[in-house]
Amino acid sequence: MTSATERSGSTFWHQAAASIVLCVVAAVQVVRVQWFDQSPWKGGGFGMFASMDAPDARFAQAYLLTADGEVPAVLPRLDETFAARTAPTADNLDELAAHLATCTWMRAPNGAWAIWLGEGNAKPESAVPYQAVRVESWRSELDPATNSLRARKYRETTRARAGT
Amino acid sequence: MLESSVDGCPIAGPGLALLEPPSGPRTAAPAWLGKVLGGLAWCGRWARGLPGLMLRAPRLELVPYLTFLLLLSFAPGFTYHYVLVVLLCMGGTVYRPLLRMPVFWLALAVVQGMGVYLTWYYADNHKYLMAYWCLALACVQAAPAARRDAILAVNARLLLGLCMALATAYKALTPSFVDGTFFRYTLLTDGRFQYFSSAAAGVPLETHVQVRQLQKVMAGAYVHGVHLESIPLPDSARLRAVAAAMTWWTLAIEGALALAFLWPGHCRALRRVRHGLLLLFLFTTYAIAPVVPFGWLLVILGVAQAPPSRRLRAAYLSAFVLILAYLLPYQRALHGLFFSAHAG
Repeated sequence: MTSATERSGSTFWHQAAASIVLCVVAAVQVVRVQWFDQSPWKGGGFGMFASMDAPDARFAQAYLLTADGEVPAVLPRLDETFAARTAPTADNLDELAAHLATCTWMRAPNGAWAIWLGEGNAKPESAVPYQAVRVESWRSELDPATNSLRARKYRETTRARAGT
Repeated sequence: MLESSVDGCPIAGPGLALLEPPSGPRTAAPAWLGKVLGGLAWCGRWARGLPGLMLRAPRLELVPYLTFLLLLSFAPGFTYHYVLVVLLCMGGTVYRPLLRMPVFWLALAVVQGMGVYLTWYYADNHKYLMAYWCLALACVQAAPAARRDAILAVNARLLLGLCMALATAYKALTPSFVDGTFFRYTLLTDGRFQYFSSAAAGVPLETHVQVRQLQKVMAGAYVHGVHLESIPLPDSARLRAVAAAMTWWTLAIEGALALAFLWPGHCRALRRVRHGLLLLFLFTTYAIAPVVPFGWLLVILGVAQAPPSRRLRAAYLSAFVLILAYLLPYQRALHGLFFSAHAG
């Protein structure tokens, strides 16, 4: 037979376990927002519709560094791309750059930018002979003085091509 | 309970009567046809009786089915998470004893938790809440049978109160929200608000489209060698007034919801305030910004703690349907009807 204390203890957990998990995840999210550049909209802290700093207001840009100069590259929709947008920490940006540096890139038909062909060593004729990849993290922020959205580069990282 | 009776009458009976073998000379076709017709008749009666059943069903029996509907429509994670969620929901629907097994709900919570964890960079907050809710249902089923109903209500009340408290705290502690800048920006850049913004704040739809296109240029035109560093935004006293009104309304309703649901006590007046506020929030907020999964989840949390009142249950179920209906392009139709006509 269970005692009254045991019964009330188990009732507490039945009533509060889910809420405790919610609070713990929210606390982790607050820490990540404060110290790891995570967007307050994501992560289970219920900070949506509170700040302009949504993932949509953050964007990344990539450039292939070649002997002839830099070539802008269209970023593929990778998990690392989303992670670097939602939480553009140095680590996440570096992870994205490292992934992109293992990939094959091809020049677009007009030659102005590079298109992602995926991982591997496939080397089509039009593959871009790049030495490194630079990834930049940007945010658009409202400038109250001019009432305009301004793009601000937040962080950048460069990774040498894998195998070079 | 759900499929046991319609308006107090057993619904399987008439259907089974149709399935009885006909007397007289037999052929294979009429027996086969009889079974099909019997099945159709059963389905028809079940569908006709469904609204009544949903109004009368105890919340412990209705809530799992509403939760299945939510999960089947908006489960988090990758495709394989969704497949697992579908299998579990189908299993729970077909084999009802599963609904009373804590491990079943724990499995749903774990699958969703994994889905959220692996897609943290784009998982919305309501996806987390869906996982917590399944965990709460596991706790409910793990409790002694006599206490399950009360524990269900407490879990729903705490989850709803906490998510509103966090949402209010985030907004109240963000200076750019409190001074109205957030809604001024959102009314100009968020496509979900464009018709409301046009009607209430007088921002032309073309301006909305233009700002969003310029945002795309800012983020992606670097590949064309274009570096747009600044986008001027329109401003007006009317836009600022609407943004300020939305700011204070949001803070007031979400703060009031947090306070009402986290306030200890169960008196009748407090319950009325809680459900009144929640229904007000559901009927107004999602008319402008239809986020169906969050709205549905709030309805489920409301149903899970609502006293046995048919009117209240009907109000919540109406909200469930209306939140989905808000996805229809009614804002566009109203805007075309009133504002384009005026402009013309």
